[in-house]
Amino acid sequence: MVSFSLVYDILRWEEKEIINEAKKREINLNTLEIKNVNFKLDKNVEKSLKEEIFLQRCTSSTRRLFSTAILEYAGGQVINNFQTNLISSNKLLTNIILLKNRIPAPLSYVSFSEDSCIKSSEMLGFPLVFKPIVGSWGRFVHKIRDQYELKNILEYRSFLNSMYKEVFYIQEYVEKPCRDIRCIVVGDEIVATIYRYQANDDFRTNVALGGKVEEARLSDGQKEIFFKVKEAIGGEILGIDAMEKKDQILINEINSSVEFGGAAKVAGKKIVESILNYIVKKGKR
Amino acid sequence: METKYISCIECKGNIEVPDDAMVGELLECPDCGKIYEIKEVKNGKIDYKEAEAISEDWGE
Repeated sequence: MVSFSLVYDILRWEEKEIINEAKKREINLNTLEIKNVNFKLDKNVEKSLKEEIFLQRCTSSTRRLFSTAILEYAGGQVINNFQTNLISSNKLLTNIILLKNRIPAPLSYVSFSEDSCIKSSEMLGFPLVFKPIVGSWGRFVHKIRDQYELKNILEYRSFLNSMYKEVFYIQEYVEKPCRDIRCIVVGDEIVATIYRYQANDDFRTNVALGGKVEEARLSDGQKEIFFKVKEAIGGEILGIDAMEKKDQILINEINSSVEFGGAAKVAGKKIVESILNYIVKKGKR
Repeated sequence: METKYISCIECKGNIEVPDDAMVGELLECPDCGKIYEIKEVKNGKIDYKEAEAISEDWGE
């Protein structure tokens, strides 16, 4: 019987779906609630896990990243691995990997002071999108129409006790057709592609913000780009987000603890089944 | 099976607990919206605490 451990901090709909689906099959699923775990870091840690499989599903990217580092050091096989978690949890690092692999992405500027950020905005032009390099669900992502708005955001931000506050990341505002594309990749297969529509008049399309979903039919060329992203970042189970800009797609974000409640409205049980099929296959190798 | 409830610390509202409730699961008070996290499920008893506030590194 294949065994694996689900690593989590908060139990979202997706984790429960995975647990309930595993119960229906001959899979021995253990749960590892990371907030109640004490790792003793001594010489016995190395290789102590003997290639056990862990499905990393923490909601906090910090917990996700560092618990993966420990589990890997202990010999565990973590889906997704440390490197994938490191890159995908950081928009700037993701941007660099995309550039390195000639994968289309929105034009971005990064700077390390408020004054430089203002200069970057003059080079990029308005409207633009201001994004924290860490975070999700569209949190603190702002569409900025002019320099006054930018200065306001910078002022508010200066009072926040925020991670990476000294990194200023701005991006071109893409005139997209009120939606973006979410592609869920499991192993070497695209298991779901959806359009996520903007909620009301918000420019963000996150399902967490109330955006509705619809099945997306992608061309082979578009699918090729998503596979290229998967190859570049090296992950096993990913949610890749893209925006349409005229006739091309731009990769916007990569999610290593992908939430698929929205996509499941279109793809049904296929996503959770594919995740478990993939783990079973990996466990039998 | 009898429906289980926990009591909201804030407003004393009744919060329904699903039969398959697990540690780490979040439950929202239908009356005041306060969110709780299940701390322990033992012999059918539910121990819960106020949920962590969303942190800036939370998400996918």
